[in-house]
Amino acid sequence: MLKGGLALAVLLLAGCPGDPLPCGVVDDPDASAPSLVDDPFVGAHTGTLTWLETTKETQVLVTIAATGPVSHFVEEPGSDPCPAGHQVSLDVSVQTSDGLIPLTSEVDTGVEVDPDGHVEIDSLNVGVDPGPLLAGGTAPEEPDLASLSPQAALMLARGSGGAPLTGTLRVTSPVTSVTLATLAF
Amino acid sequence: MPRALALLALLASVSGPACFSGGPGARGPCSGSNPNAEPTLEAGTIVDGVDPAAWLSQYWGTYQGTLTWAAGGETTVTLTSSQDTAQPSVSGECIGGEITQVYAYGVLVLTTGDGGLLGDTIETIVGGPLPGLPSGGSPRPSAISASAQPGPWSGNLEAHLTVDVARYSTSSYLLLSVDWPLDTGRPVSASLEFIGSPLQAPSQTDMIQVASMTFP
Repeated sequence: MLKGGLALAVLLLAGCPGDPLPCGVVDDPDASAPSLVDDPFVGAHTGTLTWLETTKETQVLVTIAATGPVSHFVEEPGSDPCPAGHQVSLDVSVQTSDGLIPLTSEVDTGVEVDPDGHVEIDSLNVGVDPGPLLAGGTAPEEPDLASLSPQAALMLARGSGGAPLTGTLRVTSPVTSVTLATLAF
Repeated sequence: MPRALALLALLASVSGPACFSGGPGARGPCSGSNPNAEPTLEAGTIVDGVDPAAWLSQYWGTYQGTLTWAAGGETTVTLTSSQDTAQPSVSGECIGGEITQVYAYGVLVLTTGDGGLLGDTIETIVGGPLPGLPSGGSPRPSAISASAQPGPWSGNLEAHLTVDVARYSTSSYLLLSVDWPLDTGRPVSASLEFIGSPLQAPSQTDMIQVASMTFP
């Protein structure tokens, strides 16, 4: 059983005979990430965050910026046609005016951008410190949540109907998973 | 969906071939055209020397314990489990043409001393690998998952909820998970959780513990 599992793992890592090889990745040291992107998902978004359990509202600023380094795919002998466009990083920062989410940043690397500047990503996660927001009374329905080693994350997604962005803030622990806030822009 | 969850719990382990006697012919209940079927086991079917119906009867009984509400407070709890009389058959789970698990539909009834739950009935699936099957021969942990639709509950459950159910969709429900090790033949602990989607974030599913139980 173990040997079979190892063999399968090796096969998965190595690929199958006849499978196309992956594309190569080459750095573009002279390219500017911001100039490659033309997408409403990227930019500064000011919206309203609603704490669901208290119904209190606060202003939220989400900034999504394309940063370097930049790279692009190149075909290798035996590889399939490779995506045009480039790879960049997205620097995502979040901050609420009530101070319960202090300035928080996270970087997503290897995000593909097509030749038209469209970012090939539909959602982003930003880890948030649960301490300040739970201490701030945002979860009165889960009074013990702070003692359960919780984790918090803001999930940002492309909005529908023309809105560039929507979002939810969730806090999870081994026994609880709760949506604490929604974001509208 | 809840039954599918329970069934997944039953299928957590995979056993080897099993031998049959009695029942629908010498080729056994997995001999149909679908090698991964879930056949009904006729009364008297013996799998590796074990009567599945008799083996499943270990799950039927009444157990007293202590329930602790997440909102605060402790009370006595009675868990009664019995086979669902509306679906009295015992079924097998076939993988690759061999029976690996047996299960039956059960009904769990929860009552608490403080009136938070007054005989709320929860349907579930109980079962697992028989002791005679290669991976089922030694005591191993088992679990039962069950679900109940939201109110109106028979007791004053909402008074014990921390969560404001009005903020959630009407398809919200309670999930009861029972830790029922086969070597004890009785439940040792259980938890009751509220599962629902916030009306303001319908694509999300929240899970909030309502109560925990122990059965000494």
